[in-house]
Amino acid sequence: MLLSLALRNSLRNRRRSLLTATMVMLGVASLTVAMSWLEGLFGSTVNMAANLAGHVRVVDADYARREQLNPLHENIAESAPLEAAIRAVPGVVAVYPRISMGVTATVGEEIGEEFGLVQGGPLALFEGPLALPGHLVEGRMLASDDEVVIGKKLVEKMGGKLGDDVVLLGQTQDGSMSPAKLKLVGIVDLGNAMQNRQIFVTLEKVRYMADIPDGAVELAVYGAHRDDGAELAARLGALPELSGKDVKSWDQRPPFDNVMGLLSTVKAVAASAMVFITGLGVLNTMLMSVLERTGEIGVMRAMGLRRMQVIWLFVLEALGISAIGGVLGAVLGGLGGYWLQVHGVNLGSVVDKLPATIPMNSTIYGQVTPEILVSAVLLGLAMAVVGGLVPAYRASRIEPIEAMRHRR
Amino acid sequence: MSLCELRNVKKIYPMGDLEVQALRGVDLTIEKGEFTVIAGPSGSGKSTVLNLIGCLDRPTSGEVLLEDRPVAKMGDTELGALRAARIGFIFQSFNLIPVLTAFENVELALRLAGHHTDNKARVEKALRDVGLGEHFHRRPAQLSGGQQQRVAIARALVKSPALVIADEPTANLDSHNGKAILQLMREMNERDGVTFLFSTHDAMVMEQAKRVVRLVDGAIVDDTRRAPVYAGGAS
Repeated sequence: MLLSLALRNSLRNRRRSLLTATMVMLGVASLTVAMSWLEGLFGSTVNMAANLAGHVRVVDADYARREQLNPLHENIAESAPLEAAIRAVPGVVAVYPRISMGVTATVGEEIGEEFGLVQGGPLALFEGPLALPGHLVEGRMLASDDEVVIGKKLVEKMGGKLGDDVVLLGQTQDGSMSPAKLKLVGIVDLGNAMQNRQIFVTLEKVRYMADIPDGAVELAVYGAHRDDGAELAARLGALPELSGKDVKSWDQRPPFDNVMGLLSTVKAVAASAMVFITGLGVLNTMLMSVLERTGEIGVMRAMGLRRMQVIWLFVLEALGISAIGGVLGAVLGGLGGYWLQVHGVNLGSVVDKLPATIPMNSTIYGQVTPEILVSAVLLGLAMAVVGGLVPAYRASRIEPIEAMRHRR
Repeated sequence: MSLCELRNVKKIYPMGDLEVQALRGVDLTIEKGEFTVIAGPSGSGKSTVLNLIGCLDRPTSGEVLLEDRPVAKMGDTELGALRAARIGFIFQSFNLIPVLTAFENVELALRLAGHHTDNKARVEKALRDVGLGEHFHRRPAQLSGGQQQRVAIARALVKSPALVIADEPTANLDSHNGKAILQLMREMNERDGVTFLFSTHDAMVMEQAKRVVRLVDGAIVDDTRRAPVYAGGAS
């Protein structure tokens, strides 16, 4: 009875209900687009970061403490036994030794002024998790230890082209100069300027350059999914072979240990703001309804309608209006999110200033998920509850005597 | 056993810094089967008496008894249940729920009184009894004023209440419809023994009453039982 009455009441002043539903629709649509965009932004960034660094990273504990100084001497001297031990752990899909080091790079014999970041690892790492072949804009992947693939920004800065000899000047783990002359066989576009300053060489070559002949600075471990990282890290941390090592999943390390919390906070703040603003619109409509129906509520109260039933009557009415607005808003927002998913938004040079640990693309694509659509509709209903409760409570305080006082 | 009783009832309404004494120690007993009018000028306390007997309000002092039960001791929920089950209301402005049909308006009263099943036959009978057998599915806006008041009467009577309280039920009707409505209520009083309690200024309503209680300035100045003048020719 209450449901039927509430639904009919929601159609009573159609223009006002339409306005309220439109308000909820726009609120839910905006929220859906914003959530889709945030999901795409963080999703792609996090995915790239997790793929780049490994779902779990194993380094020497001292290396982790002074990571910003890139202390190559704090390395894993014999990486093969650890790799074998890690591979035996359930849930581990792959483990790759890798060494990263800063170098200057130039085309020709002279020492250059361009800085780049060497990433040395097995080809399987480059072709698997890093998906470098998909980012090639010119040339091919590495086929020997004397070849190099470089990000396009650095190639531009160096004035290089495919086939050029590139001289990299780095340091060994004990600080000695360590030059290498390699042939440029591929140019990759990794999304932003910082990422495009990377230099990819084989594991053997980087071991030679860093003078870590049988080891690595870090072991990048991959499970089935990046979200399993923390669980995998806990299992790996229990291995006696990894005693004294720093074993952390991608989201347990800077900057993502904070970023993921920030993402949740941003989402919660955006959702709360939207619920509050739209809830005010619903509140306004419902208050007007309560004022208009004072006599009618009094009559029903006189006939025995209980206070709680009055509250339900108005909350159900607000829910009815908001459900329509919420579903339409989710559809509209879903279409907007889909547009973002296809076309993306180019953030331009803003992204280029981000550190290499946040590998964000210049163009951010949205990502519409069923969870976003469902939560947007639920938030639309939350708007109804937020906006409907106060008027409903007010209506429930109307005394039955109003039925006698009210004269239309 | 009387149906309801006011014992030395006083009612004071605060009006800012002032107090308005609406009732000044009223004693009144309504017996079962009565057809009583509370008459008096505006501000005499008619509506206050109806509100108190209808359990819509509480007295400042004195005692209100409904079927020998003191109303003052009941909580809001108990009072609501009592009103739903034992008292029918008919209002001057009809006060039907505009989004419900005639049938649903009447059924609502039954449901609020706790009857959730097998209501169809009762509702249809109540509407036929007031001459609206053809208008079950019309909404109030599709009915004339007289027809709306008939729905309101059906709504008040469908749950077989002990008492029907009617607040100036003919005030918004033309004389023809007013007579017809009064005739209908009289018939229900005579035939089914339903107790009616009215407030009115309308001389025609007073002529129909078996008992007229006159109020002036919150006190009963006259209480007369007499044979009513029957209004004929109702349609």
